[in-house]
Amino acid sequence: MAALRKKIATATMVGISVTMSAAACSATDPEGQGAAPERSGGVTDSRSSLSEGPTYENGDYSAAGEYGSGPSSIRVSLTLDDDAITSVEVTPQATDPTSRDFQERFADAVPRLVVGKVIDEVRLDHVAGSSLTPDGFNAALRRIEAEAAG
Amino acid sequence: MIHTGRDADPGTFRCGSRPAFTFDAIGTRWSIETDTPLDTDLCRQLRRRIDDFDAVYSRFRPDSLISRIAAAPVGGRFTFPEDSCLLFELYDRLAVLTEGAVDPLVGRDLELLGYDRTYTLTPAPAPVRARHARVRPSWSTDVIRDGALLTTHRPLVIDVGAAGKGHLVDLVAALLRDAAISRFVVDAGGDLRHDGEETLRVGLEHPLDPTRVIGIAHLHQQALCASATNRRAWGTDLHHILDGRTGLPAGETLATWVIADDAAVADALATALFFTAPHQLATAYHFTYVRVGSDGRVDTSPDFVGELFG
Repeated sequence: MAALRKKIATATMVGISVTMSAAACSATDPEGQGAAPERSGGVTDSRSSLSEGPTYENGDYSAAGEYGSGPSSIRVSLTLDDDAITSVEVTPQATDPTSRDFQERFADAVPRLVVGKVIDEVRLDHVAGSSLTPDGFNAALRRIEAEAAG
Repeated sequence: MIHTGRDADPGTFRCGSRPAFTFDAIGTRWSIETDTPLDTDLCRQLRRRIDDFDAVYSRFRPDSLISRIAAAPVGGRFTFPEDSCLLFELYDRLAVLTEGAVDPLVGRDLELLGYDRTYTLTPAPAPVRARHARVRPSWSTDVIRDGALLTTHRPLVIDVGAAGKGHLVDLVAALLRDAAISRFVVDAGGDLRHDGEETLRVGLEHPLDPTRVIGIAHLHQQALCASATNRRAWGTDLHHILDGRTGLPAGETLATWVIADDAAVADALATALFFTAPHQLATAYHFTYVRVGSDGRVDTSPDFVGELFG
């Protein structure tokens, strides 16, 4: 699926949750766990939190992240250089058409989509968005995903 | 009225920073926050109002007025409740403003794409859809409206998804005001209406990641409604926001948020922004907005009050 891959030379990491606990591919880490870019809850990482956090080893990092209501995942690979993300590559992992379609769109969206913040990090009274879709719809979607998986 | 039992949840009070009356109705989560807990009578009245609305407008209830119109072989004359005039006037204006893109008669297209009463989420065969496309009805030509009286001449599937929930939020807010409650938040699954002195901070859910927000809207004595294509989506490129002219899902936009004085307008414009330029809509309505395009770009009205995390 090379056509789906987007290589972006940008310092912007899109606002998704990506678990990076076992992420260091080529970088060596003399401090043991000290430089691992993991945050509480296993959720990283916007550019801002990278720049505010500890100093990270230069190198290539890669991780799979899950999103959405179903078992959809994407793989994000990025290169760190002086605590800045110098390249990001997003590879959709989905096999079913629905998720793949949205992941393709997602991969397209990487360069310019606002980073966003993790909800827990922001003081909010309410949230408005699409996650509260009708109960019946979500149930049906789960059923179809299960059928597709089986 | 026939109670289907789907809204049997009597509701509960949560006492966090503010008392909130929460319950599930019309397939979504409701939360009504007030300074002091609502009395039982008012709670019952609110629930009844919502159920009455569902009994008229639900495409998913076989006993609803909407379902009767859909089942009438040669059409007929159908009297809606008085409040429907506001909703229908909104659709009248939007049909013009969006040049037919926002049209409640996309109901049949939604069914044919699989968003039907039983949630098959499986599109009808292409020939069936093509047959419908040849005779696709439109709100402006196939429904004769005299106030709250609709006259039709064939089966028509009305879907008030673009503005109905917002309209219902307004009706609920009106009941609260009638009960002399002047400080409240009505939250119907993220469609909000606020009244009171303090400003509400509303997170704008990231359209591709519900654990994140892309910004915060500051809501003060207005309504905020959101629309997005990514969650109520199925199949290849299928979702619930359809272009009334083609019956096909909108393609250029991922998510919208609109703030306006009332929730019906905010809800309707959040859908209209999927098809029509903001300046076009601004010729008829006062509103502010945030919009995320399918290419990831975010644009807002210059007078949007809040913050975006860029």
